[in-house]
Amino acid sequence: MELIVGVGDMKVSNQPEDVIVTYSLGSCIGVAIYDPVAHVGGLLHYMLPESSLDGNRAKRNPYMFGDTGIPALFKSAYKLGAKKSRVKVVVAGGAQILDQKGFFNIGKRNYLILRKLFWKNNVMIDYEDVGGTYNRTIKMIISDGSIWIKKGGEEYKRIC
Amino acid sequence: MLKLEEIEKRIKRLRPFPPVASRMIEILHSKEKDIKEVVRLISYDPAITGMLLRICNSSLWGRAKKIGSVRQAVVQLGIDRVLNIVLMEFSSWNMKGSQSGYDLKEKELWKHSISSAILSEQISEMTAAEEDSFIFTASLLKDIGKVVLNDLMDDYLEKILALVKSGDRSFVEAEREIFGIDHPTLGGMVARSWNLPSKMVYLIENHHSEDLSSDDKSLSILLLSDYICMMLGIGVGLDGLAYRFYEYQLRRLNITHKDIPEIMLRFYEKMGEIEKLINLT
Repeated sequence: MELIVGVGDMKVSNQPEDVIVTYSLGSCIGVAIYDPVAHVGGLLHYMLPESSLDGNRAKRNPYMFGDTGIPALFKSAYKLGAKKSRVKVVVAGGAQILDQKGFFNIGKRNYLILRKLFWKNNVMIDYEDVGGTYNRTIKMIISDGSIWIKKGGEEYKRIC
Repeated sequence: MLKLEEIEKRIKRLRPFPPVASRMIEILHSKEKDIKEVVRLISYDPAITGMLLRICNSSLWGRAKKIGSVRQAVVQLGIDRVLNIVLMEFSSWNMKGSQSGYDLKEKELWKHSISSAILSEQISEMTAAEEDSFIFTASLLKDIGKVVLNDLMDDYLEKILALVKSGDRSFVEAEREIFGIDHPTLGGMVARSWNLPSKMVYLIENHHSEDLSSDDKSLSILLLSDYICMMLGIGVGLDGLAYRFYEYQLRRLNITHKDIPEIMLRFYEKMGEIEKLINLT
């Protein structure tokens, strides 16, 4: 089954028939994690860096923000048996408009909050494709743990 | 480089606005608006009437009380809003299909159009900009130049993307360099050929321009809504986010970069309804 992750959304699965996909990441960030032993995968698509922008909305939907969405992604995968020491981590998105003064630097800020959280929690990124002006799509196949990225008008490429 | 005759031939292939849409735009433009005429124009077409009532009762514009007639819709939502909703139907004719040259599947460009139109309304309210009855339809039609260029893209894509990747060209600048014309200028030509009002032509034609000569807030609103949709990945094709934004356009609206997340958050609440709306049009 195709599980589509919308903007400010997250899905986890341990069902071999599932494919998790998030289309068209602009300045948003997609985080894909997969445990190859437990065969558990999860995909998050967050739109803004910090929940302090709107605490109430973050309570209703933690997946809108990086600082609440990322921990929620990992916790949901752990519930299905994933272990932090085994998960591979893929990050994509964070694109930016061509903007001389950085008024639209949300892509960059989205990426910085992720780096900060990962650094604090000793999470290593296995592959990242971040920044530039491209929109991206991430697809994860639960049965074999393969993760694919489509960038701009290019075809899907298997990245791990 | 595209020749003028080739461009004109391509513009003629589009399905133009029908006379009833032109009349509706004239009414939008006029100060004296005849409610009876608006009701008559819409009621004449049962399909349009049905579409209008379905949309009026969606939660994007809906009121607690169900709207059951064109007249009631006009009274409750106002003439401008009703006309803009009806004009969505005519705008969708050319915008709904897939634009594979830009790597946009069916309805993706249309989703971008509707989203930026709704966002334009939201930003107009937020910035208390003087009401501009054209901004909604201009937002819907602003990328019609992409529809004209779409089937040429395959042959020139590599060159265009190479220019963009080189880092110093926006997508519009690359289009201009390769085709001799860009999609906003082409959109303006389409709007002119359909006899749309000069204000609407201006907005479509300049939707990626800095235009320091103008103090027109509508243009800034149109641009800002377009860019926020791109950031949210709504109907974004292979051109991605490779467009320029100029500080002046934000200053014209008296907003700062700090306001952008709030605009995104407010718009986020409407995204589910917009998905439904795409299927209603």
